[in-house]
Amino acid sequence: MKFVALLKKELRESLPFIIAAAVFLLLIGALCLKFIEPQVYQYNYALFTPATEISSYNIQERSALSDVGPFLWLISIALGLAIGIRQFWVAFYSRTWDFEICRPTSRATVLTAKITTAVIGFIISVGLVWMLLYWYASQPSVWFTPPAGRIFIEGWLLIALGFVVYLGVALAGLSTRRWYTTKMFSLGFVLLIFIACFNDWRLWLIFIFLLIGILILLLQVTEKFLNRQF
Amino acid sequence: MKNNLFLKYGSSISKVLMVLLIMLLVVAIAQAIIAEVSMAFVMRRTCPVRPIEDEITRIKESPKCFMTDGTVHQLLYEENNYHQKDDERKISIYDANDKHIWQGLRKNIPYEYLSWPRQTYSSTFERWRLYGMMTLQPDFSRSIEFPVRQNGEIKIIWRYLPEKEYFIAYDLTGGIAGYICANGFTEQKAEVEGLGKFERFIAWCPKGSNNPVMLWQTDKKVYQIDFQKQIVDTIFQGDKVIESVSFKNWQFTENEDANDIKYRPAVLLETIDGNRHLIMRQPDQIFTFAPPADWNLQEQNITLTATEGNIYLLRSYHGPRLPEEYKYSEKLVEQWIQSIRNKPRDRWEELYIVNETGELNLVNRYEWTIPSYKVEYSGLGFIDKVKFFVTDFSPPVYNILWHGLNKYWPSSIAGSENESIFKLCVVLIRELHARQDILNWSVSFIFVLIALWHGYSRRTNWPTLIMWLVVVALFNLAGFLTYWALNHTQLIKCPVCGKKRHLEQSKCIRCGSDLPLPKSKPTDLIFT
Repeated sequence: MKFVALLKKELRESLPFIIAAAVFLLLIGALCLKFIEPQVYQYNYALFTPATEISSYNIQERSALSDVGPFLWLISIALGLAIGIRQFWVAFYSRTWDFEICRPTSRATVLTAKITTAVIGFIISVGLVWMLLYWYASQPSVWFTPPAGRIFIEGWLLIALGFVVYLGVALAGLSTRRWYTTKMFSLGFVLLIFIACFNDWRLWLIFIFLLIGILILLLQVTEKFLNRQF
Repeated sequence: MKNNLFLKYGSSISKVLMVLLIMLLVVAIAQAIIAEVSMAFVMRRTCPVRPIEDEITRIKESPKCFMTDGTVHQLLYEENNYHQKDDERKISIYDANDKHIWQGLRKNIPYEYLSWPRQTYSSTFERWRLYGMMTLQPDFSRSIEFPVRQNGEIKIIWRYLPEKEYFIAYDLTGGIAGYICANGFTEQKAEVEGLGKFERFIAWCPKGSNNPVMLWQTDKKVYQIDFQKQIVDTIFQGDKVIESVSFKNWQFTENEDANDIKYRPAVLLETIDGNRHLIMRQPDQIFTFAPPADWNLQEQNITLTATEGNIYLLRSYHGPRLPEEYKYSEKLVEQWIQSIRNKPRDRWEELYIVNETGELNLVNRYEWTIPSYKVEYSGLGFIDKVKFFVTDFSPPVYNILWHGLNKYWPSSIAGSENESIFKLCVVLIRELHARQDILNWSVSFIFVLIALWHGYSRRTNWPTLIMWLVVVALFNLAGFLTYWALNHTQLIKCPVCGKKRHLEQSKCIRCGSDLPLPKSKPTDLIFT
């Protein structure tokens, strides 16, 4: 009951960001796909010339969702930043940590409510919209070759990167160090995870990188939150 | 309780790992910047001293061309003007006795030379490029797709599925129109069998068609796939891995005059065992050549070509290659280059005809000698000194990994076909590992002493301090920065024993006394 009440409170506080992310992604994604008219595909494939070798650049095709991808990634990062700052930085500057922590409930419950809010936010706002856009792009009326199956997984990996950013921001907010020392190191670590993920083609390996990154950040966030003097 | 311990130690290890990775990256970036900036100021001084420049250039660099009767000529381009069309370039021809016999534009050469299969790098799509396309990117991965048109309109799109290793076709309604796989074309997914691990392909449009045909090479097979006719032709299937593929007249016949040599369409494959397989058409034939055991393939090139009358084999000796074990030592590489160039080098080429029984008949052999020329190195230049200096601050772990394990690393990790974070790490270690082991360990030892001096008063227990000293020893500057970032705390003087102690522990590490309490102030009475 206490957990549900905390969850509702966190969701209420993060709702503007979650709704804004969903709306932005839906609008921008719909606009990107709107311009992929059925006739456009006629011009997207190079007309090959008889008796010539085909350049390999002419046969590498982007999917209908390739314009949506950068916005999905940026909105996921922005959502991670927004929820992370809202949950772990605002209370510090407004000096309301005491109010958040000193409740008839354990710190673990408070932390679980925050993280659950973030997970729900990513799944509902960005995740569901991504699934909707992928489904729409798979319709033959939009693009007669459906997007490859791996693109659906890649979209979710980009969303997971946003969650990694959220954990990095949370850890930076909980750190008691000075900003010019190691307070922002968690964000540097998030950058390392980005580098590792964007340099591989094996989805299972990228998933492992993300999992290791999330585990490392989550362990520290949990330990800091449970033991720190606010 | 167990959960608390897991959380405590797990969090500590995660924190150290996180900060260490960041510090390693920061130190690596600083080292790279210093090394690269130094190059902007100084050029490496290497002075090849060559007597009789023109003669050496002509002997060394002019291609040796054979005619069908074995006559050999040397061709020398007079100008290095690469913007000019090849046919418009001026060329001089010398015979086997070094006598100048002809001069003019390339397109007017009165002789007909044998030409050999070639690799078409610009239009060959290799596996590493496929991986590059599949790499996670914000705008998602791309796929290989071939359109098939009728009357100028797209009817079907063939897409390659890298995970499944076959092609799938989509028609205009978005439905699946079929599959192209090792079993050929099929409409049933249950009959699909993967083509095999992709290596490379080359695609072209035949004459009179703008629909693609491709030669698809896997590790042990070569297929010819015609998307319009939906035909898969297995033109080669072996039990050894194919290393290279080159073509002669296979895609379409090159421009030929009536007097030109008529070549049969051919694909030349080289497998990992050194065998050459010449796959020919008109008529269909496969000729496999296994080089004799005494042919040193490390120092020779072998190629084949097929005309309408004969199959020719060209064997060229290009000299010794750099030994594999020298590859990662600049000093050994320089010594090897100097030892090679400081003496005359013999070269030769042999032309053979393959008879009906598959045996080789020597047609002609041409030998020449490249005179020695001295290459003076200025020794360790400024750039090398800077590089040696910055790598003294690299972690000794890099050297342990590089020297101790590099022979166990598969070559594919550092190759261009494997773009991944692991390759980045290998390149980082290769470039930044210390060149001077003793100095590297000495610098590391100095940082250990500094860490010991800093941490002695701040220690909470000896095992933790020793663990940190080991980290500093193994990771040098990055390890010391990690230690400092996570362990720098304020010191005070213990009021009991007078020694330095830090505030993070309630009891003094030396005398065991508690932290001093603040002095009490008189209470302000505001109400009585």
